[in-house]
Amino acid sequence: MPSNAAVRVEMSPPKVQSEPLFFPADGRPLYGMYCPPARERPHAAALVACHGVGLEHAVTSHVVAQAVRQAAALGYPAFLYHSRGHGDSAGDFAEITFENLVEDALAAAEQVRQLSRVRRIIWLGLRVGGLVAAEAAVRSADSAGLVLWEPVAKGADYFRQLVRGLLFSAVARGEKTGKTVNEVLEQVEREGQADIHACYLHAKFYLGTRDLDLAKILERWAGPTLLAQVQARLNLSPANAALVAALEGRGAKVAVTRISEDPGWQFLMWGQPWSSTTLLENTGSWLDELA
Amino acid sequence: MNWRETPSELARAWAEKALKVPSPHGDLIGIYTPPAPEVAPAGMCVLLLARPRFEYRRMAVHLARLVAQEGFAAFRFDFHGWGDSEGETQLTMLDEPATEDLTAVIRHLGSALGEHRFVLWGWCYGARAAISAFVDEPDAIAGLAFLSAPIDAAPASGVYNVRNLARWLTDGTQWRQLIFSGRARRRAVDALRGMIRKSMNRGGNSSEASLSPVFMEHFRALIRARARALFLYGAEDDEYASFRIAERDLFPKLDVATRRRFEIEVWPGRVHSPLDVARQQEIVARSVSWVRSLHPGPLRHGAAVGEN
Repeated sequence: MPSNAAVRVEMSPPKVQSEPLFFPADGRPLYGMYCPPARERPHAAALVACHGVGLEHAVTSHVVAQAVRQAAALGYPAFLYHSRGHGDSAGDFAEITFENLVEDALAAAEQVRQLSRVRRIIWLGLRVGGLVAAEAAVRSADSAGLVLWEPVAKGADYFRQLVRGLLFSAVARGEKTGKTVNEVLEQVEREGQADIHACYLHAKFYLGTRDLDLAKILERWAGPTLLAQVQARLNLSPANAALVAALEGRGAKVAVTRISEDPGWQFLMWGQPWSSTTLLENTGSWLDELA
Repeated sequence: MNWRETPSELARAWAEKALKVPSPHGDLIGIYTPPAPEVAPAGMCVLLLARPRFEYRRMAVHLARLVAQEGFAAFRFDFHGWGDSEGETQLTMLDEPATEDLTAVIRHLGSALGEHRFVLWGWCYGARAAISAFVDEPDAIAGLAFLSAPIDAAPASGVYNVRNLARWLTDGTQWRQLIFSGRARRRAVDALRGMIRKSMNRGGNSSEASLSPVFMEHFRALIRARARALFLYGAEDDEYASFRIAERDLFPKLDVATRRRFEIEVWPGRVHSPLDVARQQEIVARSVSWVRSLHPGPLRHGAAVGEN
């Protein structure tokens, strides 16, 4: 063999292990999936993924699992979980509140700390999960980073868009609901729940979440942040632009990625689960560059 | 999601186990619900086939914990490329249900948990996957609940349309699959052929010839097996259009003994995409009562499970 022959070594991506489990939180079992780091990364924090709420959880469960596996492949201990009343966890969907969703996120962080022996947490949150992740990040002393995937900026706007979208889909199916968004939300307050798209919107969650404001929650946050906007528009929305400016004004290092599409967050795609290569790749790049 | 959790359901939730099932496409993640110890065991495991595994409105979770109270074990899992399971995500093709996943699950539950008799519950794509299992595992299956699945030869309406085609053409992932995966290329050609065939209305759409040959193969396997089956549709389901042909042309040709094993129910309104919570709860209650009828033990007395 010539002495200067090039030796080509094929490196295959590290195999990520997944450990599905249940863990106790507030007197009920919650489902979680832990992916230990697949390679060495000194001083890596652990990633905790906070999912969307209600129907949005089913629509986005796969892309969250992909994000967790990707983080593990990059050397981060990573964990996804199902909040009470969601997915495979126990608990009543009618009883969820923003506060107890945050409690479940903090319990998930404790679980991954036990599994990985790592203290610091990077919070990833999708949609309402973005509000949850933000609140958990601000409350935890050991927060190392925040990833916001199309976070809800204001609770009131979220509920109006949610109800409007579901009413519109009913009309598209030929169903005459005869209701407006305001009437549905008034019904929720008056009767405790409303049935839209064969799914209840419950008063407890609505009343406890509608006044939330992501920018207000993050007033005390100055850690490394990735904001991923997933909207059918070319520029940052005014709310996202203002959030980035506020964070940078406090000295936070903020990265932004824009995915120009509207997945239809409450509508399950029949053909394949929603995912975004760009979203995953940009999140992976951000994690890879994080110290 | 749309129900109030009872103490008995919470007890079943505490007993659940999260499992990994090795399969040809990577590890499948699933949840096993053991039967409630205080009731007579049915000796059967209900496989709940939904995507994602907990189902859009968590019906699979509710069903698992209800049938467990009837003495049945239950198992729900993510097909490869969905939910938490490993594997490449590919476009759904009704005539290519993920039978390998199902076979892997049936065999793993047998070797790891001693489950050897199954009831398969499936909704739309899940129903087509469920009936496909009769080809390889006919003796392991005691019952099939087949909910509102299209059974015609054309691709399902709404998915293979021009709008989605335009979206897929600009998706780098789809192009990568087409370039590197022979299977993806074959599926794309089949889908295109189906779209053209559907638009040209070839083969007729009102005769047995319009039914999917793959469905027919699976249906024949079901006939040869000794399993009971429930076929449940809504009169307003788009999916019912193809099943009406089977109802009219296939089922009357079955011999008496075989026909007696199969129940067909067509409800007013919708089953495939329920418009309200009440209809969804009716579907859950009927599913539980039908599964209960498969229990080999003494009949239970008192209020039926699933009624609030």
